[in-house]
Amino acid sequence: MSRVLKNQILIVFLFFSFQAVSQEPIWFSNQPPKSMEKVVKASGMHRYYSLQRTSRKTKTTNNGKKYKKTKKGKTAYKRSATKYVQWLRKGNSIKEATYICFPDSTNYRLKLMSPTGKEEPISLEQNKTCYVKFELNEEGYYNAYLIFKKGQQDTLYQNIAKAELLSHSCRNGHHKKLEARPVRYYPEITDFEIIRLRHPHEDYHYFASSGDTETFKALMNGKPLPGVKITINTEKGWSKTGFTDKNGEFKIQFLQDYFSNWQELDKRKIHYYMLKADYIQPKDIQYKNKDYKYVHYILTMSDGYRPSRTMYASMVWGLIVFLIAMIISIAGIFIYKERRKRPYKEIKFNESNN
Amino acid sequence: MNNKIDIDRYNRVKKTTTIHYNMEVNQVLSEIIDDFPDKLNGMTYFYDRFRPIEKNKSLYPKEKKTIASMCIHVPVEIIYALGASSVRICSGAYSTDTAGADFLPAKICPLVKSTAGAIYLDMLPGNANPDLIINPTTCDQKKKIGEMEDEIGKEFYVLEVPPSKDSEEARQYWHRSVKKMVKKLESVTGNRLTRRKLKKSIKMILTAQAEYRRFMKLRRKAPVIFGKDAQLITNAYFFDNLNSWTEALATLNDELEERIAQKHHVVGPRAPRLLLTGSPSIFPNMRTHLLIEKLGGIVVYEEFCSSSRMLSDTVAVDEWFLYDMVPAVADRYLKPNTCPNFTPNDDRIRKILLAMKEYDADGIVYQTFTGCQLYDLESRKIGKELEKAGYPVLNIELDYNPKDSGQLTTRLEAFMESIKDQKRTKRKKI
Amino acid sequence: MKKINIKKYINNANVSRFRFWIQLISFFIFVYGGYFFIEIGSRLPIFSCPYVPGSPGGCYLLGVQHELNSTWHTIFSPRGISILKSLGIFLLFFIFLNKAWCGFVCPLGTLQDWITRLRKSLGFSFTRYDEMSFKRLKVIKYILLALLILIPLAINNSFFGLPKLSHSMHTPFCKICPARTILPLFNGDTSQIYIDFTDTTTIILTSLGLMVAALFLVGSFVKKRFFCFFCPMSALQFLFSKIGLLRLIKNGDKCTRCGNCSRVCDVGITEIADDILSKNIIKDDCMMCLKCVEACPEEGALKVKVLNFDIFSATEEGFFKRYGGTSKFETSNKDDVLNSNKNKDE
Repeated sequence: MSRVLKNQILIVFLFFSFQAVSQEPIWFSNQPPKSMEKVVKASGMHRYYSLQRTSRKTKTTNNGKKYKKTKKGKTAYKRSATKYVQWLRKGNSIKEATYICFPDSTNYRLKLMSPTGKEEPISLEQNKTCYVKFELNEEGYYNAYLIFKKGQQDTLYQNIAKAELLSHSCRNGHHKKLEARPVRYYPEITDFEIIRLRHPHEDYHYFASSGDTETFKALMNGKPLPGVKITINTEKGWSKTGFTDKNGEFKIQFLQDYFSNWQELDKRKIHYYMLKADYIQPKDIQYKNKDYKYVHYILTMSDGYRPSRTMYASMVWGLIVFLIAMIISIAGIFIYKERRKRPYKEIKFNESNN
Repeated sequence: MNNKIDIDRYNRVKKTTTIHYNMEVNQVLSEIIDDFPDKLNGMTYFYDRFRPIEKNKSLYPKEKKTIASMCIHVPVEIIYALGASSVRICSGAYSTDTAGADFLPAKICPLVKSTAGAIYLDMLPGNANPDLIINPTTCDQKKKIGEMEDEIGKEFYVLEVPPSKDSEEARQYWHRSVKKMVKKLESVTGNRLTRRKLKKSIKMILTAQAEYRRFMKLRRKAPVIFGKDAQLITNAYFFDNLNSWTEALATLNDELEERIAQKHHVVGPRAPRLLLTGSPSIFPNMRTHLLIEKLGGIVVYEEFCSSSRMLSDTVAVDEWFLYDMVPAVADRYLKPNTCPNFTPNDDRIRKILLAMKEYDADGIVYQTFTGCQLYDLESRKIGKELEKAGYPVLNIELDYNPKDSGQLTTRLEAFMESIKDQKRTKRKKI
Repeated sequence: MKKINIKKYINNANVSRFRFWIQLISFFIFVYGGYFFIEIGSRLPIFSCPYVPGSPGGCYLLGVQHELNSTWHTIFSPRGISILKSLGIFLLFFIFLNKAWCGFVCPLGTLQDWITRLRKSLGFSFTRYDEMSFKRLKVIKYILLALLILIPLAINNSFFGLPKLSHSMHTPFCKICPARTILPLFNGDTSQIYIDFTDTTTIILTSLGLMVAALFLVGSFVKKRFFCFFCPMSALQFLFSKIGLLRLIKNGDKCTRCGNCSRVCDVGITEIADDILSKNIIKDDCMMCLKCVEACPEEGALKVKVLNFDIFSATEEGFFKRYGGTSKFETSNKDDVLNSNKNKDE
């Protein structure tokens, strides 16, 4: 890690020697802070969290009151679409990142784009812990963006927290299976963007698992952008840095970095990673009546991967069980047929009781 | 037949019976042919089938084995598949009836006596000399003939028929006993039952059945043929070569079609249409048919084991292998069979009711042979059911002796008059 | 005149051959259709298994298990309407073909028919259940149906104070369904043949699934439509079969109980021959392959109807065309030949 990072730092210094202030990026996280663990509920394959609705029984509990302010009593039995939440965190590594809140004055743009490209409502809840709240009604990948800008000397920092949120429930059927592949991006929201390229046979049931290689692509105004520095941090503190190639692509293979006994292995456990892309573009730009020479883009994305299938699924054992069952059933049928060859013997009396 | 006296006696009896038989046959044939001026050319073939054959000639090729059967329960498909000739030897002759009475009780069914006599005197249809007689365990009287092997001097094979046909056990039992019969026949004929041969023989019989069903369809359309002729056709099926029988029937069917087109009917629209059921009429015992049709009626359908019951029901096979074909063939002789030896036998009532509707019959004549218990026992129930459905029923009891026709004629005449009356009043109402 | 001839043509037709081709086409659609951008919806009354990568749709049983995988609370809230909605979609599909979905469309059924063909070509004999086993075993599909409804409910709700079931039990039927393991193989996807060692439940369920798959292959080799007899989809369909548009009607008066129909029946239904009172003769094991109608020689004893229109009925002529089709019979039906010629001229 360190060597790559040093090289990188060197390059950065060569070009923009004044750039010393390290920016801690802000990113969307699906992990709840400890204080909220009790009031949120994960659901679906992607384990997105939503606030637990207070039912009539539990509505008086403190936790429920604290975080569920909206029309508590009435909504208890009147179910609308689930409101999912994503938390805002700040920091370079997942371990150390803190949950943050924006002061109201902060200038930010929050956008949620539906799979069909429509803008959907998303709001920022400001309490002790901040989170964004939104609904996923359509099927497909939603894109969430939180963009805020900050000027410093002659550089305009542009922090783009991005999340690709898959909305799919097997409950609703699988009729739009093939639409899982196209990736949507929105140059009109942010000119700099990182997208995860889809696998050739990817469907809505796809979830990265250990051993899978993911390709990320950097785009500037929709065109591939080479030379973007990309850092990936995992939950356990492992990190990797690299640059996008001439096609604007960056490949990484995720490897499980924890091991447990198989009895304790949870195949549904998600290990989160955080991706951070840095790019500095010399560009004359005016922001809030000030002129800047450079734009420093910092884009973050967080997602997860699961343990590899080979950790918990055995095809060899599958074949063995299959073959044994086959042999037993063939033998069973053979024996049954053999026995049937002796006619008139089918009726038997029990002679044990005198 | 160890001593000379017995042999002499046997030859004497055979000689006189043959003379009587020939007389009987010729007389009935002339009645059938000559008393009805409206002749069908296609019938000539069938009439000729019944003419007496010379002593040393036979309908059946010598190189083939001949298997005789006593009832419709014998799966003939299997006999044909094994390369043997099949002949059904139930007899309707009064002359052999008297011969059979020599060693059988007097009060039993004339058909059984006549058949036993015919076997004993070697006077089987087409001069058949069967290598094996298959005797299904149907009615008690036929069953017991099988035990008279010594006396009759022929080998019998008992084909076990279950007393009921509805239960799964009965079906399994029947399948098993047909399979056993196949083994026996294989050893008698010296041929092995193969897939191809059985398929071919099933198809051959299906072809015959298709032709028969076409014939019945034509009979249903218009009264173009008398019942006595129809009865002779199915009767010829007992012993005739199957292919030539089918061909002859096809020619006749074509002729009937022409008749239908020309509206050439054998009786007028007011003639009583009767359905005949009960103990089977077998040539030369054609009395009921002849009496009815001479009195101006017409028999439109016979529910006999010598006619529709023998030919209507078909074999359908799913997989053309022996494991499916043999049970399929066996099923045809069990499940749709309306022989009264099965109990319960409600299918027979349903079959008659359906035929009454389909053939637009006005009434039923239920004939029972003296001593034929099974048909006699069923006559009450069937009579009741049919009367419930609004059809007039006439129960008649008759013997093979042709001399007691007088009383029968009067009863049939009265019955037919009443049907005519009913028809007339019906028409007026309309 | 022409109309009658069309009817005659259909009644004389070899429906089994027609069915073979329909099955072949449906198999391709429901196993490879997804690759050709076909999408049919996920409430299908057949085993169009979503685990098959190329599947264009989904089996309703999967949908049911997913939908019922929720609390009472959710089920009796407006969200529960979606459960009714998908049942409605399932029924919309279902009523068109009634149980003929099984006989004509279901890829797993088709696969069994192909295995039967293989057995036939090898000359092995088939087996049948005897009457007692038939009656005993036919209950299994209802038990499976009840379980696949109750287990998802028991994951989220506690029944009679019993502890809730593990989430590993979700979609329990799919775990043991042979369609999941076998049909993906036709897409070259072997990923479903595995044992999931996550916990004891998954080990048991996935092993059971593979055992069922093995039993499926062996069973359908010796018994025609082996699996259909235990198929909960068949049970579910039967609950609604009375409202189906396609119906199999029997005229008991015309039946001679010859048993042709029940002998050719792949599932071995005996009522079709022995029941002379019922008009609607579709039984729970029936898959409407119409072989019984083909094998029936009695004019109009068995009929296939859509609403009140006969579309295929048993006829003498049709029977002999299919079973006894010797040239002799064909030439003797002179007027038929003439009629069909006339028809062509028109």
